[in-house]
Amino acid sequence: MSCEKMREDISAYLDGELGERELAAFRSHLESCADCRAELAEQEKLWALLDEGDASEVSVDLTRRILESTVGPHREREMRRRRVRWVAGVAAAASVLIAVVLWRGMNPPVPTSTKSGEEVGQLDAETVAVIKKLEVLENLEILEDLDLLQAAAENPIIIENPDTVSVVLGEGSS
Amino acid sequence: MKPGKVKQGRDYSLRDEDTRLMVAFGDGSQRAFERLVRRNQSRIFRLAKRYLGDHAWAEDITQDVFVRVFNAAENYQPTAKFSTWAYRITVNLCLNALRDRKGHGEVALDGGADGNLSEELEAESVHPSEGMEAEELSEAVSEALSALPESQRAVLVLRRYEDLSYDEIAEVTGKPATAVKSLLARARQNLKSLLGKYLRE
Repeated sequence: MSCEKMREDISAYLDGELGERELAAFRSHLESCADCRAELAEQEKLWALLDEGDASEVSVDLTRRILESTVGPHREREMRRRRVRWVAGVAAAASVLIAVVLWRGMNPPVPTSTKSGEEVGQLDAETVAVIKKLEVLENLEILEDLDLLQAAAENPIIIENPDTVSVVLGEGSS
Repeated sequence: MKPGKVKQGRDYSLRDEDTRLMVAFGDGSQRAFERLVRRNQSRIFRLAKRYLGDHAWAEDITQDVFVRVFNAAENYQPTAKFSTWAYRITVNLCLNALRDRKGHGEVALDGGADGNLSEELEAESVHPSEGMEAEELSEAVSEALSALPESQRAVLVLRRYEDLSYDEIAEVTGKPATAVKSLLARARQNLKSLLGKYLRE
């Protein structure tokens, strides 16, 4: 007679969840118990029967509904956040640029050889160090001037001399 | 996602695509969320549909699940596999939905302390008519599942239709694996009673 324990074992056996030793014990019991063999066969049929569960699909507009109720109201907020970040990035870069220009105005560099006919600005290692110290000047209030920002965004400074540090200043990074 | 101390071995984002997408979404990628929805909406719906037995209701639950997923972005930790976590939300929402609805629709049978429904099932069992049709069987299966006590139904659906292991079912339902094993055995017994006539065909 299939007792409670055996029913559990049959169930676990069908699910492949019996441990090694349990499995051995189960198999040997099965050999000598016709009731359990019958029960096992019935349960296998039942499992196959359950395959007749319906295979209905989601409605075509479910995705849209889900996205509308989640991403939907946030989209606008997210786009606005991105714009603000960009402007802040440009402002930061511009501030460094302006600080360097001001500093250079007061401390003109020792002339070094440049490729003739090319207009390149040079930033030597010393200047780079200055730039780093000038990061505090990111907060210069002249940055509020949009024209300045525009100019900074449109006119990157590119240094090509391999002996000096190459720095590209221009559009803000995010 | 807040930077967490996730041990590599337990970080599912390294080997599971959905978990990886969830982490990407937590870091701000809305596209990742959209992909998550498309990849998982069907199976969450399937689970809810088998649990609740109603198509429209299941779609509503599916939507609710993804709202929860969306709001949990920053707090999600990849030590939980996404599907396990999402299934857990689904099961809980279904359970709550049924509890709220009790008295309005069909109520699952109780079966007393041992969960054995044989007495109730004498009256409830589905009678096949002559010339059994596939739709009728499908309907019978659906009704049989609805007749199971919720705890048995949950483990059975997860095992049979989502192919989860006992340990995975334990994670989703919050029950110990030993309880899962015994609930499944009882579910099988009850289904056998409910669908017995179809077995003899």
